[in-house]
Amino acid sequence: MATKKIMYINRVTPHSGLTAKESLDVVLIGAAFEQDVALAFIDDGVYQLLKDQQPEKTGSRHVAKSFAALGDYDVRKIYVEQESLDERGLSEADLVDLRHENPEDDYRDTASIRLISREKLARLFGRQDVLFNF
Amino acid sequence: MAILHTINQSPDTGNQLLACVSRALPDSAIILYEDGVYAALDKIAARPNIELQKLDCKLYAVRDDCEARGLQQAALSKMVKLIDYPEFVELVTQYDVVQAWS
Amino acid sequence: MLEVNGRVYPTDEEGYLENISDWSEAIAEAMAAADDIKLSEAHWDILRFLREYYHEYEIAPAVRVLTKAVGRRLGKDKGNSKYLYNLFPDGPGKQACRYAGLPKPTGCV
Repeated sequence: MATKKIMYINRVTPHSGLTAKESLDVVLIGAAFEQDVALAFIDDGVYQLLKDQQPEKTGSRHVAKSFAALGDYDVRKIYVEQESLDERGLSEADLVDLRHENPEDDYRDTASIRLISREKLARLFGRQDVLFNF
Repeated sequence: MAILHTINQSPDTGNQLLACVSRALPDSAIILYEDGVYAALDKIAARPNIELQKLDCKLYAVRDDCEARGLQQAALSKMVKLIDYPEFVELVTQYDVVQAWS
Repeated sequence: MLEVNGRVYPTDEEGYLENISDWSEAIAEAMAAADDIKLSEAHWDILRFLREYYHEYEIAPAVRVLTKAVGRRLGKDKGNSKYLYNLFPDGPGKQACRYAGLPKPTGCV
C-alpha cells in the first residue's frame, strides 16, 4: 500500500456530541496503516487542545488526554492555526504539551504542536493527498 | 415580562448568541451553558458583533461547563457571573419566560 | 457476559467487559483460565501497564503501540512482539486488553 499524505481537519468543540471522539478514533485506526498523518486544529477545533479540561464535571470523555497518546501512534504533525487561537484570546501556553520521539533526530523527545498561519495552512491543505473534515 | 435567554452553542458554531444579544432587554438575563460558555472568554465577549459589555442585562455562565472545557476564570469576561446548576434552576423560576435558543 | 464468583458481568460479543469499573483481578484470572492460561507475574506486569495506560490516555492501545510503549516503560526485553505473543498467544493487543478489562484496542487490524 502506497503511503498517502492524510490530514484530519478538526473544526468543532470537544464536548458537543461525539465528533471529537469519533475523529480521534478514525485518526488512531488510520495511523495503524502507517500513513503519513497530520492533524490540523482550526476555528472552534482549537478548544480541543486546551489543557486542564475537566470533562468529568459534565460526564464527557477526556479527548485532550487521549491526544497525548498520538505520539505512540506515530502521529507527529499537529498543526494549530495561529489566527484561530488569536480570535479566542488563546496562546500556545494554554494548550496541552503533546510530544513524540523524533526518528529523524535520534528519537529525541520533541514537541508535536506546530503553530501555523491561516495562509500557510491553507497552502498545506493543497499538498495533501486526502483531507478529512471533522 | 422578564425573559431568561439560554445559550448552549459556541458563537463560532452557530448564531444563537448573535440572535440573542440583539434582542436582550435591560430586564433580561442570559445564561451561557454547555458550549455556550466559550462566549464568556473575554476576547470573544468583546468581539464587535457580540460586545457583551454593552448589554444592560445580567450575564451568567455555568461554572462546571467552564471547568469541563478548561476555561480559566482569569480568561473570562468580568461581566459574566459564574453559577452552578441549582442556581440555573433558581433563575429559571425567577423569570417570566425562558427563551432557550436552538 | 461473564460469571465470576457467582456474579454476572456484562461483556460485548467478543468478551470485552462493558464497564471498565467492573474489573477485578479475579475477572482477569477467570478470563485467562477460560483460555487455559495461568496468569504469571509477567502477565500481570503487562495487565497493570495496560490499566495505567488506559487511565492516563483513555485509549486501549493497538499491538504495535503497546509493544513500543512497553519497551519504553518496562524495557526492551519486554517491548518486543516475541515476548508479548508468548504471554498472550491470541495477540497481545486484543487478549491482554480483554484481560485488563479494557475495550477492544483502537486501531488493531
